[in-house]
Amino acid sequence: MPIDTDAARALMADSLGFHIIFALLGVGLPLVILLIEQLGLRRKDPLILEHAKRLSYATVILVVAGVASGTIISIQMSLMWGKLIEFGGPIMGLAFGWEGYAFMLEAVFLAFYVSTWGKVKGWKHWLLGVPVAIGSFGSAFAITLGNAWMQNPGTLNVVDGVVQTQNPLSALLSKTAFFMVSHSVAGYYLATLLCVLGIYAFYTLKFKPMGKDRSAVRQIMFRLSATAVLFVAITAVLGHFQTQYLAQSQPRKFAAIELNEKTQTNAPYIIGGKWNEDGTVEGGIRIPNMLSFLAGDSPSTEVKGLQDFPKDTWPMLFINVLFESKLLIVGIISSVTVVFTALHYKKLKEKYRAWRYGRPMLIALLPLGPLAIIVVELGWMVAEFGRQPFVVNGYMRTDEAFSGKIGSWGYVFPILFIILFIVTTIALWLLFRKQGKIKPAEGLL
Amino acid sequence: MSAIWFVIVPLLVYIPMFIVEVYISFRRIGKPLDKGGEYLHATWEATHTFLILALNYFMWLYSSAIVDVANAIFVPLITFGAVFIVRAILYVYLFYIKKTTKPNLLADWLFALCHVAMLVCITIVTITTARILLEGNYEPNHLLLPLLYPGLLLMLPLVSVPLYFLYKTKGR
Repeated sequence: MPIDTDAARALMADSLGFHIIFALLGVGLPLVILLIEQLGLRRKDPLILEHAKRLSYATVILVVAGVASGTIISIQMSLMWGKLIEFGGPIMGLAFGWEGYAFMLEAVFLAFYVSTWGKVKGWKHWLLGVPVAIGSFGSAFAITLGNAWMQNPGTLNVVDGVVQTQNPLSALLSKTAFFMVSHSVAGYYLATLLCVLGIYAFYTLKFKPMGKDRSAVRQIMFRLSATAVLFVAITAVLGHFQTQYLAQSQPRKFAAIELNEKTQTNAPYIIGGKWNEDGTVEGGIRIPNMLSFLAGDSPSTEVKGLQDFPKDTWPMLFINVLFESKLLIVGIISSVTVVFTALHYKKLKEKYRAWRYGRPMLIALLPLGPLAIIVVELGWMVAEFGRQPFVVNGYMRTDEAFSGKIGSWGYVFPILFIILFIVTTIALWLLFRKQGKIKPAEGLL
Repeated sequence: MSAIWFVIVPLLVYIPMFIVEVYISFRRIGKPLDKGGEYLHATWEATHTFLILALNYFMWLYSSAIVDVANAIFVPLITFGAVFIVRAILYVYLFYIKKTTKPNLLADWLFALCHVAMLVCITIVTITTARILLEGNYEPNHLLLPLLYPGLLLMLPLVSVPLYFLYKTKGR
């Protein structure tokens, strides 16, 4: 593969890896803010509303970074991956066109929502936040539709290097799209809920809120964690069915993820093994029949193996390590979240209930958000590296999609992204730390 | 309505708002945040979505032209992207980190000049793209148009109301 193509792939991966952090928070925060504002309005508590207001300012900072990185991805797509656009334009264009609308709705109403705190009051202000949440969801929905088509394009009619279709809508709205959209968006919500939960754990540790502020913070934390438990369950169920469908629709990727060497029934599930270059698996703990059972609810389910595919179509084989790491982190996140939420159960003995806001529990909550972001990153890495060497699965190889040049820009953007990341992190840190304890705001109700 | 209007309409909406943003970015130079130097609420990010819309439409409706156009606009467009990030860095620095009553002339000027640089780049990109489209015989993806019309017709009036109020207060 030419150096420029490799550099372009690395740049695209960097850009997407950077953007997804801000994108997922941009999708999740509007929902989280609506939940908190709704709580404040229902309880007529200006303190809770002030928390929602501060989070909305954080969203603006994140949107600034997200808009910049998102635009760069658009630019990089057009300048470097023109042949992909040419190839899939008649179908992918619809997804990206819709994404533009959704993003516009999100960005314009976010600016309006933030600037109208104290001017538009009560439920009217809450309603202004609804288009932001709809827009951010729509944005993720549309972009993921486009990606899902690249993962599993179905049967295509290609004439002169361009996909022919009479119905781009039905090409986009596939079962793969359903699973990818629902699983990834639920993951974004979960990651954001846990990030904000971590912020409040920090707030509690740092400022030791008392009286009304403590009551407000605890109500917010419980609401966040209870919603997070809901999304833990949703992502787990969706993740299972998505992986089952992956076994049928993208068996090459499934085999690479699950360390399945050859096509077989009673396939074992291997934990901790690794691929050799010849497509054999070394080491690991084997649980007999388990992979077949997971793939098709029966040990007799036949699961395709990697060795059944030509070697030049094998994906990047380290994706099984990424996938196992993801599952491990998901286990940690889920356990801590469920334990924290369960400790709120009213029939529990008071000595156990007291643990929920004890120092060890609060410290355990701190890393959940960053860990959940890592899970999202790992999930997308598995999806994207697992699709290689194709950009449109089975039809167009990644090196065939490269159309441009890159030169020293390959160094410029990662450096700028790092600076932007640092500046954004400092700004958020200042917003939550230096401004200190929340004070009841006037004029929000 | 031909496909090209999907590119032209968002650009026509975007240009006046961008000019307002450029004006405000110069007007605030040397003024502390609490005395007219404020530039809050990220309105530029909101209006910028029109540019993204135009870029998106162009990329996907004229996908047959993208390889030719990309080669011609590589330098101005990628420069635009780089300046865009520099502007975002300065924006966060000026309004969320360096919250001081003292102005920061160097950052203020850089911030304002970023807008000018982006305006120059995007003008070159637009003119070059228009020239290539006029000279070539590129067939747009007509099939997408009926699926994109409703969104444009719905979205423009929907976002114009909050945008009007945002700029009405910002301009003061």
